[in-house]
Amino acid sequence: MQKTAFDVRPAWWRRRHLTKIFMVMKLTYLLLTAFMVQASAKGVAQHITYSARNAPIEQVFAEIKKQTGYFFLYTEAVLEKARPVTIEVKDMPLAKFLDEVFRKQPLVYTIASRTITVTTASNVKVYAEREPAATPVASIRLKVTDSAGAPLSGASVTVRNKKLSGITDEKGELTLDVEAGDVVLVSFIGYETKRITVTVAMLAAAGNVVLVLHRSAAKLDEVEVAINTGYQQIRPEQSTGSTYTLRTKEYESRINTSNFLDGLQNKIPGLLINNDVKFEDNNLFQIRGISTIKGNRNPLIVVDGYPTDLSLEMIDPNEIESVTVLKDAAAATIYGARSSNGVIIVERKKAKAGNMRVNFRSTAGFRPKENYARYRWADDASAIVVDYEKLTNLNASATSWGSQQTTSGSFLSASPAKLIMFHWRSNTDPITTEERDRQLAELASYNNAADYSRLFLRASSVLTYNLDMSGGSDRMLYYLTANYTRNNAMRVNNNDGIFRLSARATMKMTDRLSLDLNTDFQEGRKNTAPVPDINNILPYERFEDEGGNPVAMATGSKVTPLYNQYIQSLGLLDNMYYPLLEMNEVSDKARYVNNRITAHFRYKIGSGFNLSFGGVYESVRSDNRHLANESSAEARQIVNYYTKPATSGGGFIYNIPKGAFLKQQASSTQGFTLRAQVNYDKQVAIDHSFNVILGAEVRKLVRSSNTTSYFGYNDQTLFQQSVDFKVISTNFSSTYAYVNGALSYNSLFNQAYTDDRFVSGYSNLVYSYQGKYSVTGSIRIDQSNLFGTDPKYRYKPLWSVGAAWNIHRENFMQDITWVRSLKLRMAHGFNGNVAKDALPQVIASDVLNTLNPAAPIPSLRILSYANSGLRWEQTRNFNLGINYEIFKGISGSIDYYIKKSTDILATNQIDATRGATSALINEASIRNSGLEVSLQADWISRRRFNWNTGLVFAHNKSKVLQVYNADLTAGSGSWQYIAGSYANYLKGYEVGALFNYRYAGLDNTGYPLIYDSEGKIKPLFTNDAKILDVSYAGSSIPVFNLGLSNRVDVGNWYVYCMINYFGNFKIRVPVPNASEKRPLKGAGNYWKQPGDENIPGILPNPTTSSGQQHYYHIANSDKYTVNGSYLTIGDVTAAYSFRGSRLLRRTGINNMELKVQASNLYTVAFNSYNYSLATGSYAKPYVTPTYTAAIAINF
Amino acid sequence: MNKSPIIILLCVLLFTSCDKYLDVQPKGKRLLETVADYDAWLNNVNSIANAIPNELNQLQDNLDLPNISNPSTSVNDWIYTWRRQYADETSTPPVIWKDFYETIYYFNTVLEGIDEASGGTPQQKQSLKAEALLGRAFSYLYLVNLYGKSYNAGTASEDLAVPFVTSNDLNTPTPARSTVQAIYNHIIDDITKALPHLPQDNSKNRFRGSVAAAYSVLARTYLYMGDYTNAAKYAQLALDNGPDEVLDYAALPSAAGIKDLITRPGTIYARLLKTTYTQYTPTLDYLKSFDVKDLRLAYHYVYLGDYTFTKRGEVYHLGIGVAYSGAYPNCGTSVEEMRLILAECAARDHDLPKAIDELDKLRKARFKPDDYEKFESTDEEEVLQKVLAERNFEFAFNGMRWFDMRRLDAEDRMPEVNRYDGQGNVIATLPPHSLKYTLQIPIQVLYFNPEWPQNPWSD
Repeated sequence: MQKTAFDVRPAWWRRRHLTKIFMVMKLTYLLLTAFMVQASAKGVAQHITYSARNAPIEQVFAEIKKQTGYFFLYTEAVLEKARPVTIEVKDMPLAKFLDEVFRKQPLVYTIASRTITVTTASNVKVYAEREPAATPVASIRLKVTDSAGAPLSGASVTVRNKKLSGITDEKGELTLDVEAGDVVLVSFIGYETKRITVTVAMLAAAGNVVLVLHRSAAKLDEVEVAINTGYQQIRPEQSTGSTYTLRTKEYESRINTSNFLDGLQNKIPGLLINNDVKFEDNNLFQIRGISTIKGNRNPLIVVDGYPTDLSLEMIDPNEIESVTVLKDAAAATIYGARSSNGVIIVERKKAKAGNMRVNFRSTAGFRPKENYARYRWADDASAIVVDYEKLTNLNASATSWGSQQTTSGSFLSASPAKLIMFHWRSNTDPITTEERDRQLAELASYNNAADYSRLFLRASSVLTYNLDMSGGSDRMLYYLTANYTRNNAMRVNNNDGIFRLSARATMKMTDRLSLDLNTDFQEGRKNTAPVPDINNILPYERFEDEGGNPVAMATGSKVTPLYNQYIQSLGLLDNMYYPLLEMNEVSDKARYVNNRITAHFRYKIGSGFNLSFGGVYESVRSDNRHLANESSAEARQIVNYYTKPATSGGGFIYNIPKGAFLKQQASSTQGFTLRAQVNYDKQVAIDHSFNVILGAEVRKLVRSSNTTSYFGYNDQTLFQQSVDFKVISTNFSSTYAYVNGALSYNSLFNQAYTDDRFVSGYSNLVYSYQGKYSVTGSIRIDQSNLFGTDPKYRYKPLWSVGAAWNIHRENFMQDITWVRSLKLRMAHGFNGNVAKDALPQVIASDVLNTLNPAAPIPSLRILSYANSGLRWEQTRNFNLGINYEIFKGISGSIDYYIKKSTDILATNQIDATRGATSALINEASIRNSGLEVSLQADWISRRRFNWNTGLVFAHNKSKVLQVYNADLTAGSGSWQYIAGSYANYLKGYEVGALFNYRYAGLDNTGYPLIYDSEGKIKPLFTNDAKILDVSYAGSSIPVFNLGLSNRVDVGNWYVYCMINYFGNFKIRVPVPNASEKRPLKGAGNYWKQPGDENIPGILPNPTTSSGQQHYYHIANSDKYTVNGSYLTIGDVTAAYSFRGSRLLRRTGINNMELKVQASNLYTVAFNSYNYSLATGSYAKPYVTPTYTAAIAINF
Repeated sequence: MNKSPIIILLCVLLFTSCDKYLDVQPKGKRLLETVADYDAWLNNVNSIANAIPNELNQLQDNLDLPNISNPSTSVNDWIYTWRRQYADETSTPPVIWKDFYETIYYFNTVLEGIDEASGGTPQQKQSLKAEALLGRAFSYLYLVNLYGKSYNAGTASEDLAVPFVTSNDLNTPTPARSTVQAIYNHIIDDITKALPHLPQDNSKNRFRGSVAAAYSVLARTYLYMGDYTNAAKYAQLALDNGPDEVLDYAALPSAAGIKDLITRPGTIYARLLKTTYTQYTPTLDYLKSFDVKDLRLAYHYVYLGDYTFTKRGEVYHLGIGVAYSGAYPNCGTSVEEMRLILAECAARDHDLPKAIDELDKLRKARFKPDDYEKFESTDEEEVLQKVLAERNFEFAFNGMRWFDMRRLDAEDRMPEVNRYDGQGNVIATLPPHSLKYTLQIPIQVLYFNPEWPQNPWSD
């Protein structure tokens, strides 16, 4: 770039070669523009997509105006010299596009304040050919910078009275020959045009003139390249926090159908989204690890500048303009007590001024049915299950069969195979051994997997339609969108749909006052019917008989057919469960309506000050209607349970009347946030720039719900019958069908209500010096109705400080041209989190004192202890990161962080002298640390070919520093370490710690052996050495995640592929177990007699209850605890755009794009079982892909 | 800049209404705010009514564990063999200690909050406060007798007992251990302070405080202090101010006649064990000391066989009573206890007729009239022993025996107690004047209060 520093040559030479110089400059500008596009993250806001062949230039201008809202200024005479334009571009920045257009024209252009002025190039020539002036002109060197002092390269400089123009170089400099009195106009896209008159003093100053351009006052449609924190726009070079922004192009490379989060997976370093790995029964959705135990773990989601408490379904994936994730303290402290888990800021698409644009999109996706033939189930599952029952019931009680016909019957829910064994063993009417074996063989010969698939499953499908319209003028912009999504689940009778409407307007009421007004409406429905889970069904059971009539099944019937016959003979209802009937007789219909309104005013006070105030109102109403018809097993079983023989005269007392059972739940959430904020954004002197906000916020969230139930109900006549609910609320012992289970009164009738209120004050300051150094500080105080008596904690603010150094702007970096941008930043501070289960004072709840059962008296019991020291959970956050851009188009960031969360509310042990042995107090502590790397590279970038790679890598390691684990104490036996989730939070280990036994084969009685801590073999449970008998395996949460995307654009085509990797965590592989309903392959290979223990891979003896316990424990041994790392091919997308085709031009369609996508294509796991969690279960060895097609048309 | 007043005004408006805005009462949960809330709070079952740790019964000499394993890993076995500590590590809850402080927490919550409570008359507030003072004093009476030496006027102001906790805020530091004398002073002062405000009648709910309940607790307190004059005085006051008729077993048709403690006749101040459904195996010696006609045997013990009591582990004491009628033993005070205190104090005061008369009032209600033989004696020691034996029958497995053992040991009346395994081998011994009579401060408590001195111990 040194070639543009041409002031070393004599003035006459310079003058003579001015044309040439301008051409060189043009080229430079072209290149610079390209770099600038890179430097500003994902490009300048205004992009042009256009194609034309020999089109008149006016047509090109019209198109630019339409697409960007920029105006053109020219005279007819000028255009006479114009040549026809042939061009074809896609998403090209405006400046670049203009250069492209003007390259072959005898014309030049300048941009100033949204106006493009076109003049003839000959004007320049005229000057160049002019005789030297009488008074020699002097050289001045202009340096153009932004308010932060950063050089603006590519700024347009015009000497007005001389019709001379030029462009600044990469240092923002341009040398001009001027004389006193010349008027120089300097303009740059997005900045206010500056006009100076050259003075003698200036010329005397040896020509070093620095010009500072200020950002033009918020243009209505101007999309800032700045980082949006929801409260403030911070220019990237001034940001000290760890943030990452994903923009439309990246987001929309894949087809997003219904869930907005799917499109974020592995695209943002530090954000872990994984629906395959579960922790505490929840999908993983977290930023930088888990930093709370009782509180909310999900990141805070901000839409249109305000946090949302609505479900994520409200976010239409078609509307994503950008997603910014704030990860560390400097970025997120401004969200105060809710920012511990990071913040996700969603910006939705905005309108551009101009004619109305209409976009229509539709997607259709489908997912084939499960292929049970490929499952890792034993091929002879029925035989294994039947054999197992046969073996374990050879000595069944002789009375088990007979007692099935009496009220005292045991084994009421015995399986059909077991029942055959009972019959054979019966002391009343036994069957012969041959008959027994014949009946068992009949069961063993049938496997219902295929019938299950035929009767209960279908290919699932998702359909979406989306229409949006936008446009407007400088004064008023509008954006309207409607979306409908329908999803048919794989299980029949299960489907859901959602309808969304959104209207957004930006109004510039006066020059000072503007308003953003957004309203959203969503209505969703979800229908659920009880389709049985194939894993809960015995493999030999039939769903229908030869005639296609529904058949009852053992599972779900609660009683055996034998006992059912008996109670029916007495006059009770059929207790059996017919899955084919049940799914039509029982339904859950959920319906919800969301409303969200945001209004945000901005008022320009002047002198760098402006005021913004506004708020959001959200409301959700949802209804859930659970109806079990009279003929459903659910309703019949409830009636049977509560049926008692009449005390006299025979007959029954139906405590619950016959008829349908209806349970209705209604819940609502209403919340608002109001905010008032003063902003100060100003350059003081030349080197100092300030961006300060100070504001206050009020928030309120009210949730309520109620449940009511009806019995003996008829959905047609709406008739319902009264019930004495004392039967349900007091201990009722069932006479005939105790196995059916009692109803819980509290689940039938219930009221819930919470009212959370918050008041907060906050401030954030960004100071930058010369655009090279910047420091930030933020502080926030939150108060709520839940917290705060001890003054020590009451006004304890959350704060952060950060610093950034734009190394590439240092002089010593100027010669290292391959480093385009390099920023080092560091931040430290605190985020908070709310856990709401405790108060500073005693919380009690009502309970009846029934010490005198005849006359209960009101009483209270404690729910939580008084704790004036209660406070917000805190996360101390340290982040060190760099942002880089090297060579052309390779950029990214590297971040290292340590997050130490303290004061985490957890049930901790306390001094029993204080009245409790454990209480919810702020004492637990978790540390998360990790490394994040992101890379965006345009390896090859040509006009019709582009290859882009995106790489996101994140590493997170957690350690529980302090916690009281009541389930795991020093005295705990070894089994407690492996049981359930006791070790999820254990001091000194990772969150989600998994322990396992060291498996050492079987002994000669068929029971497992383990290695003790010294490597000696001993039977499991013998001389239990507590924690020494188990070893630490690792965490059940992935430590690494990696996303690699590649997109290749060729002409109108592109192909996109996304690969995901989740690594370094442990999973448990289930042990094939013959006693299970649907045993896995190899389940039949178990110990039967001494000597079998020498067979490699032999399983323990499952036929005793102790044996079953051993199965449970060896599932938690190192043999079955394996590396869970896996890789998936997430999306493969191909797209074709009809842009520029004749067909479209004739129809008036601007563009049409077709996409096809296959998601979830393939997975591979890095363990010997090839068990990838992506498949959903171990039994399923493959992933079921989703195929989606999309069409997008815009007018 | 002329707009700045508007901003300031806005901010002021926002923040001035803050306190009001944040001051809302959560629904579905109850903060203790009204006098009625505190009244209901005192009706609590799990921490106030069922307050006395069952572990106290493990300490006493009439309990037998014939199936005890050796070495044992169960906390109950450890207590049974008077082990030094009832835990191996600090992360388990400290048995006994935690239960009394849990009850104290409930009473402290009343004492801390009742003055600010809304509704109710000042008298009602005073009354609830008085009940809480009484209840807390009663809990401290147990604690001082478990973790402090037996009351000895000479050393009581130096002997360390337990911390006197008065706050219900988990954020308040635990105070240091008070002396035995200080705790007794607190007990007596608190009850004295409470007396003028306590209700006269608690017959609807004997778990609640009353004047008689306060006198009865004072009677027990002075008895444990060895102040027999005051003990007798307050026992009589208790009877004068409340029920004075012992529950007559002979008048009941069967064991089913013993009803729920909350309104059971003869009860002055009711307390239940934490776990009421109990099955205790008495020692053979203890069983043999009963008169076989004693209705207490018939109403509370099962598998009595031919009353020869030759095989360990056959007979059970059933907490609920043999008729499953809710005949749970009362750990609190009763007319029976007051009568026995009067008898004991009279015997110690050489007033044998009075002692025998009080004994008679109780005993004749424990036998069918035909089976009853009045106890007569002119030997002071014999009368006293009879009273003490009667206490042991009457207060079987209600957590009181250990305190009598301590009292008797202090005056050289307690023989050595041995524990035997299934084969009859001695596995633990509690010799006279053993330091084991004062329990160790649990390690789980010392963990949080490392600066506290531990009680002396020798194995």
